[in-house]
This record gives sequence, structure tokens and C-alpha cells, in this order.
Amino acid sequence: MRRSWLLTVIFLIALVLGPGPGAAMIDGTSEAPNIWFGIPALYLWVVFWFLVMVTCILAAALTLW
Amino acid sequence: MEGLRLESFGSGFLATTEAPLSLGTWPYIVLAFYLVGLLSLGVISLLRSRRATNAETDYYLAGRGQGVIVTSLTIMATFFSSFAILTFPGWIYEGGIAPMLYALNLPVAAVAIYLLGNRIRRIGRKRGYITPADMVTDYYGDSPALRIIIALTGALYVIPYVVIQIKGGGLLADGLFQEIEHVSIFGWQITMEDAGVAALSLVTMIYVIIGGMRSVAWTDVMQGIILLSAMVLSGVAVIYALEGPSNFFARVSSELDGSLLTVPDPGDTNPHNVWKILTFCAFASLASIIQPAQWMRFYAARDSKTLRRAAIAFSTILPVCFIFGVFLVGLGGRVLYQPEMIDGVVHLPDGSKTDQVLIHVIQDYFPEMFGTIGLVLVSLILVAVMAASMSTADSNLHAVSAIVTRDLYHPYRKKSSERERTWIGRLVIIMATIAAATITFAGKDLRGLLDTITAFFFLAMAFSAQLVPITFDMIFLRRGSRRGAIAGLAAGLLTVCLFPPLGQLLLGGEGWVLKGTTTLKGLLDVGLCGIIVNVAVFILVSFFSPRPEKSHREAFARDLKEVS
Repeated sequence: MRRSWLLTVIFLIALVLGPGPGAAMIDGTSEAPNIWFGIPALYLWVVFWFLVMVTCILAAALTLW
Repeated sequence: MEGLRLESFGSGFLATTEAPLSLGTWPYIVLAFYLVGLLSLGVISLLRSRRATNAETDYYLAGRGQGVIVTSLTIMATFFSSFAILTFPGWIYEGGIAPMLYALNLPVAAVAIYLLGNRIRRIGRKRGYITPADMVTDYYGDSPALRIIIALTGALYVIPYVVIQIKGGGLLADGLFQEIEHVSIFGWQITMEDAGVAALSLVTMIYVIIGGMRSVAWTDVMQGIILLSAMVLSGVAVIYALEGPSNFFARVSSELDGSLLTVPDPGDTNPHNVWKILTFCAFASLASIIQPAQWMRFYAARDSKTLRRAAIAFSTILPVCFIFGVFLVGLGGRVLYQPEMIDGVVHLPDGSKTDQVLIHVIQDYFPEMFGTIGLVLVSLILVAVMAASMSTADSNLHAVSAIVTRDLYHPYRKKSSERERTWIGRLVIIMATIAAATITFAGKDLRGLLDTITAFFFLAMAFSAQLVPITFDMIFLRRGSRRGAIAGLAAGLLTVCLFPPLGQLLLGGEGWVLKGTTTLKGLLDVGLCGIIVNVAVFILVSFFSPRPEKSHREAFARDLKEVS
């Protein structure tokens, strides 16, 4: 039950932070966009939250469902 | 040198591209193999269905026995249309990285496939449901008003999709065979676009009629594999064009304007702001997963394990094809092709619409990468775009048939046999296909009707989203009443109708309501706006009207959880 709640909370945080206001906080400005490791920060942001959400789904699918 | 022109209907507009590439006879060969493949799958599924004892369940749900590969790919192929392969890269070419955030709706949809879909499958098998209305009316109590409004909600989603996708298929056929001006059939001259609409409608209609869900799902497997491969290969092509991943990102980071690498603020003219994207990810994903065609795929799944694995496949394969495939095409395309501003709108350098960027990339770099095989692959991807249209059209055509037969015909002819209803369903498919093709053929003469259908198409997902509150109530809460469900659904649908472009048709061009909904549409997902009104009315009316009997609710809850 605790694991179920934990995964749900992480997934919801990813859903709100990923496409939500979090994206606007890390992208920099249009004059000086953030570039991390040679890659636009916003692209890495999309990939990161996608991986977080998929990890939650895999964890739920393999242990809870 | 033969030219190739591709016209797409990716997002409701028409684009024209002149590309100096000769594909020779490859498009004909690839298209012929593709269409023969579709019809063969239809015939094989017909032969399989002859062994069935339960005609209706077999025709509409493939005997509730679909395995994991078929279920996964048919859900995916139904989920996206040519929008995924044309419009999305075009959005990124135009708006930069921000539209990529929409991809985060895919894991949400994947969770819904299991958490909602498996419960729907379980009780559907237990109680013999075929359409969404079967489940809703069984729980809340059957009434003509409830059945009709559920059927209407489904129809508002599926009918515009059938018409628009068939029209899109015709336009793509026209682009594929640009050198042919007219086709003569029995001395009657028709344009290539009309011939494309006729041929694709006919092929789709034949395999849906003869094989039902089984042939729709099997052809979805074929179409899904072609489409997913095309999405990934086009990403490979653009990375090749920019000389490897590190050089790709170095050039994207240094050459693109900063506004393309950041998220626009809410209220900016760019529609892809964070609140719009967030609400889309949370609610449009649910809407597209509980639309009638997908709902029937849950009923059709063999068991719980099938949907669990389908959810995993959906959450991993599809986002990878987007994030590392077509998204990179839009981003790299912006580096490769300097945009041209025409009337304040971004276009490709040759003046074509931005949704042609993927076509440009594959035409320019596949032959260089793969030689002769590159020409075959270009033809295959052009056919894949058509496949994307057809895989959405066939699923919705099949769903229309089920809705009309089960939700409208059966309640008024309760003594009708399964065999009779299945044949009525086939008749509905013929009539719906002819109607959709006729509207497309007579596009210029029926401009008003086609515009209206297009307006409904742009709000189709918002209409489908209005099923979310009652679905959650049935599956998790069980506190609503039948009157509440009807009132909430009606209020939600009416709210969605006030948003543009439909609001402009209903209310005229002016008025404070339309100004308000236009502003709101720029900030939030339209489906969510409808859901807010829907839920408020649902709760209010349910508070003053009787819920289903306690014993009925408990039995329903038991069947939702029970092993089946």
C-alpha cells in the first residue's frame, strides 16, 4: 500500500512538474536559453520526466498490478 | 523528371509541396502491396470468425480474445492519426521544443489503459458489454435519454474522425500520384483525390465489413508497425543529415533562436504555454483512451496480463518514437531548412506548410543514406502517413457501427437476433462510408457541412473527455445518480460547443461568451473546461436524485474486482 501511494505521488509530481510550471523555471530565457551538456535544457527536461513516469509505470506494472 | 507533390490534412489545412525527387514506380508497388495486405488480413479474419458461435461478440470484440501484440498495436494505431507524423513535427519546426512537452500525456494514457481499461474489460466480460453505453446504462439504470446521450457523446468523437481521416487519405493519395491528373472509371472522369478517397474508403469498408474487430485490429498491427518504423527512421535521417547526435544538438543549441528553446509564457501568442500543455497531458490523454473505439478494445482484450503488457508497451514504445523520432525531425528540420515568413505565418523555404517538414527530410536524405532502398522507404513512409489516417478511420467506423446497432437499434428491436444485429452493423458501415466519401467528394458544394464537421473534429477529444466523470464514478466512487449523469454529460457537451471553432458557427463571430471561451482555450485544455461544468452539475443533480440501489452498486463493485 505504501509503495502504491509512493509511486502515485511521484507520478503526479512528474505530471505536474514535467509539462507544468517547472518547465518554465529551468529553460532559461529566450535571450539566454539554458544548455546542459551541450543539449537544450528543455529537451533534457522532457526526457527526464518521461523516464521518471515510465519508471513509475514499470514499477507499478511489475509489482502492484 | 517526375515531381512528387504531397498534400496532407494533418491539422485541417492543406499543404502543397513540390519536391524534385523521382520515386519512379515505387509508390505504386508499395501501395499495391499495402492494400493487398489489408484485404488479405480481412479475408483471413473472416475465415477465423466462421468458427465463432457468438456472432455479435465475435464481430465487435473479436470474441474477447485479443492477445498482447494485437491489443498493444491496435490501441497505439487508434491513438494517433496522421497528426502524429505530420502535424507534430510541424509544430516543433514552428514553435521549438515547447510542444514536445505534450508527449508527457502518453504515460498518463498508459496508466489509464490498465487502471481504467482492465476494470472495464473485467466487468465487460462478466456482463457481456459491447459498447460504453452498455456499461453506463447497466450501472445507472437503462433509460432512452441516458443511452442516447452516451451514444451521442461517442458519435461526436467518431463521426468527425471518420470523415476527416478519409478526406486526408484522399489528399495523400493525390500527393502520391501527382503525375496523374484524372482517373477514368466507366467513362466517368474523376480527380486523383476523389479516386484516392473512393479507393481507400472501399478497401477500408471491405475489410471492416468482412472481418469486424479482428480485421480492424490485425490491419492496425500492420499499419502500426509501418508507422512506428517511419517515426524512428525519420529521426535517424535528421540526425544523419546533421552528422551525428552531438553535432545535431550543438547546431540546434547554437543556431536556433532562444525563443524556440524555451517555454512561452501563458497568454503569449504561441499556444503551447505550460498550463495548456499541463491540462492537455492530464485530461486529453484520458479522453483519447476512453473514446468508444478504445473502450471496445479493452472489452476485446484476452485477460488482465494483456492490458498490463499493453500499458507497458504504450508507455515506452510510443514516447520513444516521438521523443527520439518525429520530434527531432521538427527540431533538426528548423536547422536544415531556414523558415520563410508568408503573411506572418512560418513556412518551409519553398513556401509549403510546416507539416511537410518530415516529408522534406526523408525525401532529401533517405536516398542519400540508403540508395535505392531509400526510395522504397520514402514510398513506404508516404504510405505510412496514409496508414495513419486509415487506422484511425477504420477503428472509428467500426465503433460507429457498434454504437448505432447496440445503442440505438437494439433497444427498439429487443427481439432482434445477434446475427440480425451484426448484419445491421455491416449496413451501418456501408452507409457511414458512403456518407463520409460523399461529403468529401462534394466538398466544394457542401462546404458548410464539411466546415461544420471540421469544427467538430477539432473539439472531438473535448467531447470524449465528458465521459471521464461518469467513468470515474462507475469504477471508483459510485455516488452519482442517473439524472446526475445525464445532466452532467449534457452540461459538459454544451460547454464544449461554446468553444471555437464550433462556438463561432453556433454563436456567430461576436459576443462576450465567445470572447471568454477563446481566451480560456488559449490557457486551458477545452476538455477540462467541459469537465469542470460537467462535474459541478453531476454532483448537484445527484445530490437531489436517487442513486442506484445499494445492492446493485455492491454487485457492480464486486464484478469490477472479481476474477474473470
